Amino acid sequence: MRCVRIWFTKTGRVKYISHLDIMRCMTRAVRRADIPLWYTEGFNPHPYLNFLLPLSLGIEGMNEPLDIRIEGDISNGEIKDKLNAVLPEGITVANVTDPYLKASDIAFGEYEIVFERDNALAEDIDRAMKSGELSCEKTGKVKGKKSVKTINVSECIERYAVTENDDTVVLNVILPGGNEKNLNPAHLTAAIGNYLKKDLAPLNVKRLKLLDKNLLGFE
Amino acid sequence: MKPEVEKILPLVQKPGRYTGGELNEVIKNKDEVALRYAFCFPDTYEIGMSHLGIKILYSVINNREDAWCERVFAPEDDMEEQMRKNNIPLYALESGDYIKDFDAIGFTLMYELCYSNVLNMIDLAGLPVLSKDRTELTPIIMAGGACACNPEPIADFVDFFQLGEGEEMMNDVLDLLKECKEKGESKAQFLEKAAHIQGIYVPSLYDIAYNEDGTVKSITPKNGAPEKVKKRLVSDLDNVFYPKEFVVPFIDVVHDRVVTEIFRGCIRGCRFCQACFLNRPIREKSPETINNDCKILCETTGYDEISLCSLSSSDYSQLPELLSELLSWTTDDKINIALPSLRVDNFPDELVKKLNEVRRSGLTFAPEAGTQRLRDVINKNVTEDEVIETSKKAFSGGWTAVKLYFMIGLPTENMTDIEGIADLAQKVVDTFYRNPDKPKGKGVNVSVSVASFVPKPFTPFQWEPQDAPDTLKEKQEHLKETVKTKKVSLHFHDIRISFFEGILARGDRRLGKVILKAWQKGCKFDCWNDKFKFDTWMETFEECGIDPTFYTSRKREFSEILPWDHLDYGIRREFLENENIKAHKGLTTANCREKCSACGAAKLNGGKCDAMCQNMVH
Repeated sequence: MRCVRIWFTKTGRVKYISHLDIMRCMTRAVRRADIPLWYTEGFNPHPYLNFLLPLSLGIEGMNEPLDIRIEGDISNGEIKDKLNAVLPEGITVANVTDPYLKASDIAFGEYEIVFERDNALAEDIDRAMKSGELSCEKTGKVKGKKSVKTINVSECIERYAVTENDDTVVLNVILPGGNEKNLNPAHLTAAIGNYLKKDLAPLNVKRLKLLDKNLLGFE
Repeated sequence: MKPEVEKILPLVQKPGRYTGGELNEVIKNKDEVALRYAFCFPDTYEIGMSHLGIKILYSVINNREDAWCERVFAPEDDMEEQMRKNNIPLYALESGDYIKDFDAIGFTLMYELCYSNVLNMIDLAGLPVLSKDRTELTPIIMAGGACACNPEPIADFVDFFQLGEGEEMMNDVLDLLKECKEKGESKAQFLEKAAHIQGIYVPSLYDIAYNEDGTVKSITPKNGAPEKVKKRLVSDLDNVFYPKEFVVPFIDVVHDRVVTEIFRGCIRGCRFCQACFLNRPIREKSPETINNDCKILCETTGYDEISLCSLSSSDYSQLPELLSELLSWTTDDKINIALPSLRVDNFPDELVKKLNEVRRSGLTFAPEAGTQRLRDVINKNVTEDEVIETSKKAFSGGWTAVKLYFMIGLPTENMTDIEGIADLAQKVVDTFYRNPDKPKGKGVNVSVSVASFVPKPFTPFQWEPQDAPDTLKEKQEHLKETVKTKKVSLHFHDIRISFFEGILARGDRRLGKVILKAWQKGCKFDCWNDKFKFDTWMETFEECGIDPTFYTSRKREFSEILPWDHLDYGIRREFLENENIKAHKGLTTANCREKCSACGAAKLNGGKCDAMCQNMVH
């Protein structure tokens, strides 16, 4: 048995498919691909798949890692080709490697958030990001009861850049993601919207890559 | 996907229902096909994607070079609200194109409770809901499925119906549609021609007259339409088209697995069961074909479960051969085999073990009635001993949970029969504790599901009155009081829904105006307990001056013309009448393998029936 790390992209309409559903989709893909899989040895044998950092619904992923366990002789290159032959539209394997770092080494994600351009949006976003006053409410469930807590968004922003194009404003931002701390980019846009007192719906959100605690690319 | 749709997707629950793009969906170049077909399922994506018929017909149509079939499901309330707010008409999942521009729209009618959804989807598409208001040839709206056997309640909305099995009939219909479209013929011209394809029923070509008491006086065909519309069926299941690929949904749907039929029809003849009589005669698929279909489908989908589908799996004559062929490769590939609809009386021992090798599934028995007397009335030839004997085997095999299905409100039923349900469940519990091989340290759970009987067309009980809601309520309460142990859990169907289903099941064309009005008042998704608006429906019946109990509580005489008497499913009316008389005498009828009872269904299949009875009556 050995573990391999599959790097895939999730783009286009599959971004509307939730993490759990992608998990099922990938489980079936590895079965269809005729890759010699290692099966768990319990009462309900199933292939082992581990998505290192789940991607929220509605976000495209450009380089997402997935670990699978295989048994038998097959090269990383073969795994890549076999998978790409059976994956549905929007999911593509870019690379298959041996796992170098542990899942717990993931500390940040780099995101690209695209907005429709309007008059001073670029400056507004920049002002909001600098303000140190960004916050938003997060609703969730604690022990079955609805709970609302306020998250301090500003302290989560590690690094950012705003660029203005012909039709769009692009916010590149590094946000915490991993075992210890997480921020969903949807909370960032909500917080910016709160600060600017306007409805801010991004055209698209992409996770470009995952980073370790020193902001180096996760491998 | 259209940009306006992309805008609303982040605002709705489970957007994966509305995106398309699943594995194995069929994409064609729209400029290269002559016909575009929207296959509509009048319920949510999760239900529709579990349905075998849609998988078969999707592939049948897409197998033609000249046609492109796409899928459409009923959007949930939140999506519908966004679509209506943003003026987005109903679109097909594959191309994202609006179905109002398609050539044909086909609905599958799985249950009567989806009728309001059919109207809602036609309206969401941006088309007039009444057939007579859609004057162009395209899009032509058709419907098929189980409820097409009495489509009268929705005859005003659908242009024509397909009776019986669609694999071959669909191609005939599309050939004709293509020809008429090319020649520039009118909708009326097309419908008149379509009426001559076997299995096609065009309701607008039949005039219905009524007696003063509200019963049907006459059904008169016009413009050359046939007197009786015969259902269509496929003669040889080994040579009929079967899909090599299924669309594999991303999101979790109800049945997400490989499905193959093992045979059509049923030899049992339970008198309440519509599926049995609608799908006769028996036609078996060979083990080789089934095995091949399963293998190919597992390869193309990556599913880890196969369901062998039929009305009564253990009546398949070559079940041991089939299972050993399947198990020769499924166990290694970690694929589980599910055998739904097993009967208790011939559940082979060794199969319990074999089927359990990969993953264990649940165990469900359907004795349907609590006493032997009533089981004889409904011709469910299962004895108490058999139920107990099989439970015993199952418990030794390691099962600890058993589901039992029953019905209440059956003809001739009394309170003793109701008590019999609790009795039988208790005996199953006792069997568990008496079993020396029972799994250690575990209790038993006997789950009892109790549905309310709804008389259906083309069954021996089609003349029977349906129990009134109050009577059913009383019976439910009585059963609750009779069950003493916590090991037995009771589940009841909503009585109001069964009552409503009963109205539509044996309804006539006059119900069209009620359905139209109730839909206008917001009725839809009637089969969903939380969305069913019983009071609105009852209020609408009253406003339309129609007494719903006319359709449910009335005992019909054999002499009465039934609203579906011009539709011919092969089963002889005299056979059904005779079965009805026998039911009231408590006499059973042997299954088709033991003795042919001359139901007449084989006539539509050139006299062939795979029940393989020695003395078949033609």
